[in-house]
Amino acid sequence: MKIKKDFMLRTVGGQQMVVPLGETSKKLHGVIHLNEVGAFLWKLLERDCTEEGLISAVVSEYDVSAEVARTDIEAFLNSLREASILE
Amino acid sequence: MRIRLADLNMEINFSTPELSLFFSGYETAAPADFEISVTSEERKAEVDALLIPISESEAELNALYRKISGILSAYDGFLLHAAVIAVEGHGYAFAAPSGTGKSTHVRYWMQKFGDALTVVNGDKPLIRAIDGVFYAYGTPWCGKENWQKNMRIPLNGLCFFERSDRNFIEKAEPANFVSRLFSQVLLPSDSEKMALLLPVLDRFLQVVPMYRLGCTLSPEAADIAYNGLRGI
Repeated sequence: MKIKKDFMLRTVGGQQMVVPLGETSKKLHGVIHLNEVGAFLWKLLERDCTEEGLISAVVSEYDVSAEVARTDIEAFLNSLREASILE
Repeated sequence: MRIRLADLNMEINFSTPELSLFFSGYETAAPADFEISVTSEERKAEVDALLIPISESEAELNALYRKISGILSAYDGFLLHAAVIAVEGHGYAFAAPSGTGKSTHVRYWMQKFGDALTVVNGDKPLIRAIDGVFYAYGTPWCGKENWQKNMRIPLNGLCFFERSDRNFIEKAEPANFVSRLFSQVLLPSDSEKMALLLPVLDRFLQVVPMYRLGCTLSPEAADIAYNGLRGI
């Protein structure tokens, strides 16, 4: 899974902000505000990552069980799919 | 024709001759830092972006301003959708969704200060950081009231304006206003320009105090806002 090229993630005002670019910016108005874990997942997805890869990365980075991580990551991926952010 | 905006000289090429009047007060003879012109596709994109019909010259003006604001990201600047006033050497910006009563609020300030107050730009000032100071600039693109002056003022506060049943002003944590700032900035679609702009917005949030301003539609709203901005 990979995030489309038309997005840029940067820290602005201490917040993790995603802005749309190019054609996407004409369809998606506004910016996306991510929390720390969201930005961590986003960076992995910018390079390409499987769901299992995301789960193991989160489990090794944060103090969380694989079951909880899976539930949260699935919800996160669903919201990315709904917004057509994944390739 | 050549004009000076935001301390930059630019050669503006346009196809609608009557536009030269629009730029009066901003002409310069100094050598141009860059040249601007818009294509017919860019004009058409401006027409398509709006729900209300606009004339060819309005489309050309919108396209020109979009282009200028994009170029400004390379000069630590951007276009802020806000009204900026200058009083006692200080600049204050008021941002709000249109129809909130921003112009009415500015009128209360005009009544309070009379000739001591200048509206730098009533709707779409350019903002630029020079030696660490963020300045707001008057430009001819300024909204239907036509409030603008060819000048710059250091920006000492940005108020996010909202209608309320009481008047209040409170200093805001910049972190809580990042999304709202983004909604008031004309964002480029080009990744190079965006990569230049985002660090400028980051510094803007660090340097310029942000306020939440709740206002009734009454003249006292300007008193409360002024006292809060001056720390009185």
